[in-house]
Amino acid sequence: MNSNNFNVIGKGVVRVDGLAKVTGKCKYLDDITLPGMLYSKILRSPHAHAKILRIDVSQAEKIPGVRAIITEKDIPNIKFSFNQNLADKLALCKDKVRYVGDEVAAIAADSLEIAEFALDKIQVEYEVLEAVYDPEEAVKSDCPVLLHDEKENNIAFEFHNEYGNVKEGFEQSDYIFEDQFITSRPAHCCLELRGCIAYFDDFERLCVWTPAQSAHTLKKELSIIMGLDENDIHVINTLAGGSFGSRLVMDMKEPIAAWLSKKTGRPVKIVNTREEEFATAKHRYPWVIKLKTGVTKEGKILARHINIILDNGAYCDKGSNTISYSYIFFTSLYNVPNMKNDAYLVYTNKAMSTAFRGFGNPQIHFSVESQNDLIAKKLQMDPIEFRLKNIVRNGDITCSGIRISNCGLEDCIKTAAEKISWKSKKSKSGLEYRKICGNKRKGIGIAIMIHSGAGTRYYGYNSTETFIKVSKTGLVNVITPVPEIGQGSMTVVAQIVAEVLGITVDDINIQNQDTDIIPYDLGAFGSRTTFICGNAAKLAAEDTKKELIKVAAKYFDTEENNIVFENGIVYSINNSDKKIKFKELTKYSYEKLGYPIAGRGKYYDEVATKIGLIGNYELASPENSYGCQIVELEVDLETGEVRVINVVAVVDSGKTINPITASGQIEGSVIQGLGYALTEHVIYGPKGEILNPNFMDYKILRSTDIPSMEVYFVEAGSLLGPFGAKGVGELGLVPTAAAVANALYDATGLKFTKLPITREEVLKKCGVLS
Amino acid sequence: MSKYYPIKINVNNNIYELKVKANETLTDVLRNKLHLTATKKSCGTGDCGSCTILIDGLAVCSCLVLAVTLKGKEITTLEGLNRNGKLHPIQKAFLEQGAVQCGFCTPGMIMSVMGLLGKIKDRIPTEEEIKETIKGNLCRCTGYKKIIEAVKSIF
Amino acid sequence: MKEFEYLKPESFDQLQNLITRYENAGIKFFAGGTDLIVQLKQNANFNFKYLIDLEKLNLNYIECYKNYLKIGALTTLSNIENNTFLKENFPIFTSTTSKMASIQIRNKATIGGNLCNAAPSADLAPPLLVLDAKLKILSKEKEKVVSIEEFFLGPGRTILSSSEILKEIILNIPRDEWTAVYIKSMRTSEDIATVGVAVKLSKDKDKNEYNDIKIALGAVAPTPIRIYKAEKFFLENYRKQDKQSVVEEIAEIAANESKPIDDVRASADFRKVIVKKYISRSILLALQKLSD
Repeated sequence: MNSNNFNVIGKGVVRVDGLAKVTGKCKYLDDITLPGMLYSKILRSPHAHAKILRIDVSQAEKIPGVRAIITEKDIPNIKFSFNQNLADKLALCKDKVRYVGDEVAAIAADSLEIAEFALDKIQVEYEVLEAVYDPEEAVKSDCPVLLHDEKENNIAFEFHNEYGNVKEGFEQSDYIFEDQFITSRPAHCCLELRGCIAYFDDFERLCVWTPAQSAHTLKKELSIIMGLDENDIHVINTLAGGSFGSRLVMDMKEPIAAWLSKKTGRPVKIVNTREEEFATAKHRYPWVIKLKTGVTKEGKILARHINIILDNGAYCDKGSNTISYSYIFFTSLYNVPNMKNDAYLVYTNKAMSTAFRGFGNPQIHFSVESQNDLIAKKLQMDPIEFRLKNIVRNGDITCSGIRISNCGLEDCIKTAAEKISWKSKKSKSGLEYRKICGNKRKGIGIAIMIHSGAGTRYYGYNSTETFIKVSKTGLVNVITPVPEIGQGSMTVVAQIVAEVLGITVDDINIQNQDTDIIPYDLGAFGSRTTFICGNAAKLAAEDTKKELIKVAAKYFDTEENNIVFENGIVYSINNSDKKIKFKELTKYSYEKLGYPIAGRGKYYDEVATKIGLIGNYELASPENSYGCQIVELEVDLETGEVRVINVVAVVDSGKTINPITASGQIEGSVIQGLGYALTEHVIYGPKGEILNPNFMDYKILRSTDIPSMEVYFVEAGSLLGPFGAKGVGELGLVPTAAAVANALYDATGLKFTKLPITREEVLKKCGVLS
Repeated sequence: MSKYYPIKINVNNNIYELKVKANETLTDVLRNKLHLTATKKSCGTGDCGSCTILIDGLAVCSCLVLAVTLKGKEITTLEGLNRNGKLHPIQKAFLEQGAVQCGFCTPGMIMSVMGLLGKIKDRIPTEEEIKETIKGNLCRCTGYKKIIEAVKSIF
Repeated sequence: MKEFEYLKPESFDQLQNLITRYENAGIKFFAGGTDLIVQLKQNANFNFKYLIDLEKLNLNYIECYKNYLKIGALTTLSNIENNTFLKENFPIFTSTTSKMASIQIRNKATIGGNLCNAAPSADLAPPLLVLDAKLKILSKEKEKVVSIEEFFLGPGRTILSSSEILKEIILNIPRDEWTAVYIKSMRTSEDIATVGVAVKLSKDKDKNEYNDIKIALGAVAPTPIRIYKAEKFFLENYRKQDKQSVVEEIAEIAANESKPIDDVRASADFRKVIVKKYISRSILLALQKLSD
């Protein structure tokens, strides 16, 4: 791998979808109107838990402009969940509703106004049941509330796994630490509201337009819940206005729109309101974590046992995957010989949760990294020193069998420490910095992280393909399944292809939207698109290049291995005076040789088929990315206000394909991480209703809230990734909450174990509030 | 029977004669009647700024404007920015500085900046002023840093 | 949004005719719309038949006279924020409005709207309370002037009947040396006040003594309130005790006078703690400003 002589790789090229975005010409789902389109509204349960006694749509049907109304009677009785083994959700509730917002009926009408008006006219009679909101109550065997009658209790899924022997590990330890951590329920807050348009095309195939993170998976999910053949479904992936994991799993809107379209013969659009979005577009799983760690007095971690209760909400989504995925990283950040995980996914009468940037890893890291600082303090070790004593390094094999390679973790730590002047700020001689100033305290805290840099294999399929067709006039069409959710994946693919073909991204056209055209791929999650789709794109570009080399060899009448592609020009090294432009070469190929140019790249991950949902963690992730964050902050002990001053984030994501988009991803996810740490949570009222379903009271950070941020990349490289690249999309968010908690611990000596760390939490810990 | 009001509005120097109900917001009129979809709908309550446009040069959330009140006013949306196919310096800066990720907040963000440019004429704004200018525009992707740098870069 | 009819009178006479004609059917007055439209969207019970737009009545002005100042009810928060006279002579207006919402909202929202919406957390209320503002109300054909202290009745309720409008806010320009501050407790940099505190402190230059203090709180009672007890305590005791203990006792009085509730933004207990802290800080700040 030629690390420093790249033309396009490693450059901050302007993103290929940028022009359309700054001019406002690009279309998101709700910008699209199809001829004859109807508008739909969903009737949702106002109760957290209730029997449905009767639904009467007769008054609503009479409203002029109402074209169809559906309830569970009109659809197949097929339950669904992302993990179909745990299928528990009907698209429209039958018999029971299980959270405020649960879908009960849907209307399609000539206008949104008519649909809204008619929705009010649907009469539903409920028998309200007792509800349970606290997962620690719901998990009990004697809990009086049972959400799903076919189950014995409210445990949707359990996970138990041990590597080594934690009991022995604890016995050998000099110190045992047991701490409880409670994480919160943040919402994704994508600016683009969730929605879709569905219709049946001329061939009676269902066509759904939506900004899915995994268009092919959506096809499968629709086929399951609608009882349709997957071949009769076709998804058009529209541009996403943010996703962060919220668009990975089918929403009931998609089949509902499809059934309404079937009934009316017209396209049907459904889009959430912002209030619906907060209530029903799913959240991050809240965890209650009990973490027990045993260490020697020299600071070696011998054993860790994590016990987790996840608040599943009313129906299953990605919870079981969140548990098993994050367990991989629980076992592979530090060299701990004995590790155990007991996790319970528990039903409650609240909204569902789903994947959210970091996918369980932020919760794992919050507990582990916060506790590490408590341990370091007890052992009178510097937090960095304690970590360096225990982190994984290249060549290590974790207790879960993961062989560590291409690991730049130590570099990340050392770089972060140097950039923020950790030593001087942390040491006693840094008193000036850590001034005790009346009611304010300053603190500095560190957290490190590991995350997948190439998705995970445990869905059993981790391959993908890319096709390239080059036009006569030199336009390189790249047919790739890479979803663009704002992270710049289209640009990364374009840069990879451009580098191989010696052209610029201006001559590349990315086609990534139609499941009838794009190769099968599992989508944007686990920070995998750069690695998986990038690899396939590189292979396709190399295949295309072989064809072009053949043509050029003919043109220059020379050996194929003399041909060079550079800066849009092609020449032979034994006669570099004679040059031809890339676009002229393609023209020559079509017009003079009659030879069309195309290429195919297949990234085939054979290992993936050997893994299931549970087990074989040593094979789980082809490549991992690492990072370190240090946070400086100031806390006012009289008012509880926390002001974050500076964040230094150092990331090992291998070769940085585009430093601007990559640093943008880190900066954005750090700010999301600070929100997760300090201000964001969905607040439930006593009847299971959300009290803050709006941006006035669900506080996400604004431009006037941000600290200064420095982002650095340590390029430890990946032998397997395209040009050595690994994933970067989630890395900024995973350690942030822990770094904030550790900075507050440094500032105050108080342990902050509950997220978000609001002003009231600070005052409670200070003893000012009870 | 719904009552409709005839209005004549000036959007991006084009005059449109429309009939609107009193409760129609400017966001809906722009998007649904004039098919100017750059202005986005995201919260509907003036909290996110995705629907920001200029009315007589002042940045305003169009979701809180009733179209029927707009007689005699000049409305500017993102579509009004690049006439003659040339990008405004702020659009170029957003591209070059990486201030765009998913792009959904971008139209509102740019229009808020246009409001600032109209206010300050030739003066260079402070970083505080820039942050305050876009305080009303939520972005979930960028963390705002590159947006602020993009605005700084055009002076 | 429910449907309604829209009217835009071009004079006070026209306004009066419309009020007389339609008040029984249900009317609402429209200023900036930033509160009203949100309520229309979110509150199913908020409806009326006629919306009367006051824009053409020329109530968007800031007029300075020798001894007093008049602000039209439809003056936007941006106009208040950027007004040169206010910046120099009543900087509390600039500092208060710059903490309200966002520029987009301030370009439309009005001082009259903020007062008439009567949220307990209305940011302009505590400053106007400590400035002893007078409010000119147009009632049928008559105008009457009331003290702002009488204006608020409860959350979302004022003394205005459905056919009265707030026309103007009148402020005396103080003769003594004075300063006024408003500080606001928020969850993030843009927020509704969890607690709002305004203090106005006056000093008699010749006698070199504080001759008046006014203290007001927002967001901690059903309406914005003046804390007369605390004001009296200050004037009676600031000469007898050291600054710190006077301020602490005032803070305690103010906390006791406040009646905050638990809501999604904060608990009542938290608000009481913040009242104490913010009262101390605002009085100390005012003292510091006047001694500079």
